[in-house]
Amino acid sequence: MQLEQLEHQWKKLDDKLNQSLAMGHEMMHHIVLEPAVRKVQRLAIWPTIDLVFSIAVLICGMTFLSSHGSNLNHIIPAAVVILGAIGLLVSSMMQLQLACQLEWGGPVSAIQATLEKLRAYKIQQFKWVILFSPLVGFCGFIVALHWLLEGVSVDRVKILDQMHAWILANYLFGVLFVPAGYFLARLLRERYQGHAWWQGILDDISGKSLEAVAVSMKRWASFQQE
Amino acid sequence: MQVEEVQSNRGNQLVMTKSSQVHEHFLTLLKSTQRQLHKVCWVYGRSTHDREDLFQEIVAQLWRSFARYDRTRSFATWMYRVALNVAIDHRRKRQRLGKGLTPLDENQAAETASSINDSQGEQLQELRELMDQQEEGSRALLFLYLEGHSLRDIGEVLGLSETNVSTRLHRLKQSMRQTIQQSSKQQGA
Repeated sequence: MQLEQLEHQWKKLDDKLNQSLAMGHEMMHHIVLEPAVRKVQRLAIWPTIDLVFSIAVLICGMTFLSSHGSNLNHIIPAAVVILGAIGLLVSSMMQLQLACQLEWGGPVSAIQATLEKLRAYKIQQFKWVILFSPLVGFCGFIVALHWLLEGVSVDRVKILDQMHAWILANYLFGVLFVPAGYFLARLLRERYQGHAWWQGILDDISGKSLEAVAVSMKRWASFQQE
Repeated sequence: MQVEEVQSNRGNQLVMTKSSQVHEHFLTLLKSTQRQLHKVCWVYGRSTHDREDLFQEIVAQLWRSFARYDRTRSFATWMYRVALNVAIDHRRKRQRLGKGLTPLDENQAAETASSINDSQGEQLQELRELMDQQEEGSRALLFLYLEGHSLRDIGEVLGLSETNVSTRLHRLKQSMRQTIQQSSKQQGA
């Protein structure tokens, strides 16, 4: 078959499409008249949730730090939680800014480059959230425990002093999880090739997804160049 | 009190009329370009179900972005931009979920073949496979070319200069010719 024949065949596709037109007509009415469908800005949902969550954590962390700032046992977990919340806040704001600026009616090459950038931010955020979750999560737990023990009027200093070794072990685990999680994800990603969901997560953590995004961004950039 | 109520009702009616006018205007514009939208879905969708999803996604995005559409410019160009942006993004998401990694589904081939006639269906299938082999940018370029758009219009949709479109199109045609010749030789052997 020749290229010209293919071009001719493309025109024949119109015959086939007649069947789809009636169905599309009904769907269009439904979408336009259904407010729930049209108002959802899906790209902005998760960054907004993350933003609200990080602000709430930041407020809690700051309040805790201001009332317990004299003790090093309190400062360390609260500072880690605050730093984690600041990281999440910055990342969410960057994503929200891109998502809100996104004009789908813009030139394809420019919009696709922006979408790839947004994807890169999301992957990076996911990667660091997973790698730092044991450390930040444990620090959050310690801060919450302090508050809880204060609330039920138990002698918290005694209880937490007894758990000193356990707390240190968890801090250590949290710190070591960052490089260990990264190398484990690199190691396991080949084994989970048949499982799309697991592979997606492992690719995000190990940086393979980011490499793919970088290639795609380069491709769109070279597509724009003459 | 009664005067306020009447004024408020009139206000609501005016808003309702204006909003339904916008609905109607949008639907009229969309109906005139519906065929093109289905073609975008045909190129980027993997199965009948996937194409329906994609069509819905494109129409929803068109409607969401309609308020920002500059009425002094061509609706078709704007529609193609939104549709292609959504379609490329949709395909990328499917690939990430592992849904787009398989070759075109068997139902698709059978459906295409039965809807026109066997030889035409086969050729359309071949065209679709050729399009599938292209990178995202080149696929969009090829689609717009097959739709019969001028170099200027293609450039406007994709955000490229006319010279760039012309060069890329030339290279694309050459590479497609080679692919077709190679597959013909393989079939002959």
